[in-house]
Amino acid sequence: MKTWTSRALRWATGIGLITGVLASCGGGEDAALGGIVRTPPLQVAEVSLPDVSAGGTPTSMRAPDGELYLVYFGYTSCPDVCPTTLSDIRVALDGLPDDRADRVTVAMATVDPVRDTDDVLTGYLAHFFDHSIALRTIETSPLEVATAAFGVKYEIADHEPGDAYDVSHTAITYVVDSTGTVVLEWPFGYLSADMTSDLNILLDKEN
Amino acid sequence: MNTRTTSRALLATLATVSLLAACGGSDESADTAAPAATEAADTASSAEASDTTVVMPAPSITIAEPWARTSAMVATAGAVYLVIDNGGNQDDALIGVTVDPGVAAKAELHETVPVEDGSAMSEPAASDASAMGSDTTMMAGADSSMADSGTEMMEMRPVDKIAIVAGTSVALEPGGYHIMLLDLVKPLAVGDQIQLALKFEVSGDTIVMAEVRDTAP
Repeated sequence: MKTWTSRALRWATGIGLITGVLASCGGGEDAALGGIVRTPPLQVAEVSLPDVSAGGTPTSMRAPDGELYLVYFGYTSCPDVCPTTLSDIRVALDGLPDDRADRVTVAMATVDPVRDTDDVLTGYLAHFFDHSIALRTIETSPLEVATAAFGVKYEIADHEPGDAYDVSHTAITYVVDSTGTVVLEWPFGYLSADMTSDLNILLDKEN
Repeated sequence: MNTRTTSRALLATLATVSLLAACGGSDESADTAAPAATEAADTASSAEASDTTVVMPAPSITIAEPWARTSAMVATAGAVYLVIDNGGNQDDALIGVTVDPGVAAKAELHETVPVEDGSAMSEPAASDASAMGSDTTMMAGADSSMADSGTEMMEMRPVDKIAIVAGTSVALEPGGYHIMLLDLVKPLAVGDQIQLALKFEVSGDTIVMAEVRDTAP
């Protein structure tokens, strides 16, 4: 926990400095992104996984024009980080006006497709969001392509057949625009209020 | 406390024994032994008298803000969070937890920890390249491990005990220590109260009612 606190502070420090520079250049008071902005950003336009909430239709992991797409890789038996992240995202969306929240799509891709059946994943996401995309494939190759494109790592713990097991995984939320560019990444523990602020800034740009 | 009481009783008994022995002995030995025994008895009783003012080392555990996150209909796992304060002057440790069987089959102490790079999975090439590039942006206010920390995995692992050092608090919170509920009997719904028994190494069992909420209190 101490580790995480100091980690969060390090992030905050880094973000704070960058924010400070941007704010002083632009003259704005708080119109700066938090989170992680990679240079160059990840390009995921070519990545596609089946949306099992819509009968398994292959869907590109990018937003419609003028909108944003949030994607998270996790699993439903995850007691701590996944529900925390999804709950944080929901609170962030609740902080947006309806017409703005409608321009944000949330998707979760399961890294535990054996236990996370179509119904389980779809039902799990329905707990958090009225509308969301449930990405699942039982085939290893497309999942590997997708995770590699985002730099996501995951590892299913050794276990006896039938026993419960944990899955270690990268716990970042990726914000993708309509070109398939990952414009922003939120590490685990990024505050809902900061997500809301980031979404407002990015949605302004998408107008 | 118990140990102390026992040794005090033992001391008193020893004093009595030597007093009796003195009675059975010669006059000479009685003369020397008797005052010694009396002295011992005095010491025992004065220790007893001063006991009220001596602060015995003991932990003083209090639990704050116990809560559990709501769970999806399909979810099999849940998590409970709380803050443990030890206001006493002796260390203690959380060494186990049980949950109302009407809520979940089992409860375990867990910790979510970041896994450093270089573990089981190899880093995809695409990610390597972009992580390199990102250095220049992120270096402004951070050390070199920062670019890596973004893609590291979060791993959950069981813990045997969580130390609660005297005079400190430990938070079980999202992304850190938590109580994992396994095989939920039914979904955790807002307003539900979950009964848990926390087992402490020194303080014993403490019953806690955790409120089910959508977000942290």
